[in-house]
Amino acid sequence: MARMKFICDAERCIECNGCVTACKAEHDVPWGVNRRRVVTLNDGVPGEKSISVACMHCSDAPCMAVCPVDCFYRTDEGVVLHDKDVCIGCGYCSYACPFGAPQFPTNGNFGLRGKMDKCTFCAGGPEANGSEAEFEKYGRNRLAEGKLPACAEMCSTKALLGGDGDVVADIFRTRVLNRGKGSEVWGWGTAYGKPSGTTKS
Amino acid sequence: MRRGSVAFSVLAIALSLAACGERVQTVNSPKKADAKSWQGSENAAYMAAGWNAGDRTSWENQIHTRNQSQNEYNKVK
Repeated sequence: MARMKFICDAERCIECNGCVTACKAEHDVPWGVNRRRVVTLNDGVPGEKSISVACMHCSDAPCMAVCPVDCFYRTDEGVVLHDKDVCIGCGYCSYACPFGAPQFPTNGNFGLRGKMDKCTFCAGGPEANGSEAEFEKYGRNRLAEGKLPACAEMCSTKALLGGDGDVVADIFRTRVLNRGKGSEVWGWGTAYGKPSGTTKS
Repeated sequence: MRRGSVAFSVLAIALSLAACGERVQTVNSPKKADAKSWQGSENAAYMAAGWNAGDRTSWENQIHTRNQSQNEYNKVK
């Protein structure tokens, strides 16, 4: 059984935003909503690093834990999805998510917050696979078409990998072994710094 | 005095057993059930070739094969 995961290779990401564009186009995502975006660390400084960020489909998802109306569910492939007919747009999930994945379309002059929208791993939602209703609410269901997320498949440098976690991890591991470095570029060390008393490898 | 202690005992027993009569209360989430990915899509025109909708093993093989297209080391071997 596949467990779907994303990983972004910061050594390869060139901040082209192709993944963002592919996602917007594939799902007809409205203005103001970015299911995926590229974040650059040390922007403008030599050696800057970029990573593409969206919902990471956490194994123990905080959004699921805090949702007061229990609108989230996890598919057999480990994809975290939600039912927009149940969502009340409260925003708790956006406070809980460490990646800023939940998005809220605004409408009206007073910025009324709509139903939450986020990356679906191109797996649609709780409507008939490939139906008009599913597309309107959640976008395309590429997994049901035997495809993988558009962002990963469209990535020109293959920095963004998406699919079965075991396969994706194997691909990334092969790269790191071939180039002899890079396992440290995005991970605990990048996010939280090296433990004190250790030297940078 | 004796009558009071009996009454107290009966009351204590009744209170301690009160919870036993409670019915199970479950919250039925209004979430809709979702179709499985391996069941395929209504959009037959967009279905990738090489697998059979409704066949789970076929879908898993398709996803695995498709995943390998992200590994360019397969192309340069």
